[in-house]
Amino acid sequence: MSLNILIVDDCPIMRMVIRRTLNMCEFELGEVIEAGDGKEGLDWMKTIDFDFVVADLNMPVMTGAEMIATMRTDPKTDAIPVLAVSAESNDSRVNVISSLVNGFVHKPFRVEVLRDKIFKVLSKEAIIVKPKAEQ
Amino acid sequence: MVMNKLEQKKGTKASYADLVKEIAFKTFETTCYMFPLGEWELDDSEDMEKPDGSIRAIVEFDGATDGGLVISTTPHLLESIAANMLGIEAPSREVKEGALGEIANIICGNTVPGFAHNNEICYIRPPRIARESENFDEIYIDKASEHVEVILDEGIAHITIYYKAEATR
Repeated sequence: MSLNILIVDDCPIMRMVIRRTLNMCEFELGEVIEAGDGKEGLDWMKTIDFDFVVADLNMPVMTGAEMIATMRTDPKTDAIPVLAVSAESNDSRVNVISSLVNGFVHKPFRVEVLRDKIFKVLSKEAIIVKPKAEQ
Repeated sequence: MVMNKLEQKKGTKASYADLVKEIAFKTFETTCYMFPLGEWELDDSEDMEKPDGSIRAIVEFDGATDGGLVISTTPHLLESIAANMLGIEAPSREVKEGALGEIANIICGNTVPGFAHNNEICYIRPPRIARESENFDEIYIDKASEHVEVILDEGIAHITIYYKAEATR
């Protein structure tokens, strides 16, 4: 099964880093789409059925938190696992965001940490089966 | 996280600079595989090229405190940041600017909560490349500031954070 993945980040460089990390993962990728803000991300979700979303929080137009909150109210998108990737360091905001998402990676991060977190979220949601040796 | 470190260091002006520098080193090390020079190497750093301010990224913030964080690097360091973040050679100007903005975003996002009173929320705005005409010492004339020089094995970065002093602890 190939996975359709949406990357939502206003920074093209970070989208490239996340895409590079996804390519390091050993699962089959389907459509990997990049969006520059939450609104663009929601628009893509109307046209493609995504298996997983990696989203920044601090974005113009529509923040990641707003996008995720909207996703959770729509039956078409409410079950899509979301991994939040952010430099947000305010504990109360991180706690609020963490309650809405399936995983949180704090910037700065090593790509290996992001890769492991992606595996963890997708394994927990039974979207992929991680090889036993890596569990 | 940041607050805990600041709790340990609170009070002195130097501690804010120390905090910015510590976060900057961690960001460069984790994101770009760049490391601070050892103490025994710092004498040699006097001969290293310094940023001339021709390319600067700024991240503005508001909420519990407001201000901006400005970072500038040497051309060589800028190229290395982008190349190391993406694992590519000869990054384009657009990629280099984006990489510098993201580094500024990460440093700012980790630093600013330490400048806000009682851990109240600050909103970090998206990074942008500063216009040549922007003089941040004038724009933020009513703000306190901390300036740090970050000396890495790949080059030198200058970081200045401007913030509303009364919002700090």
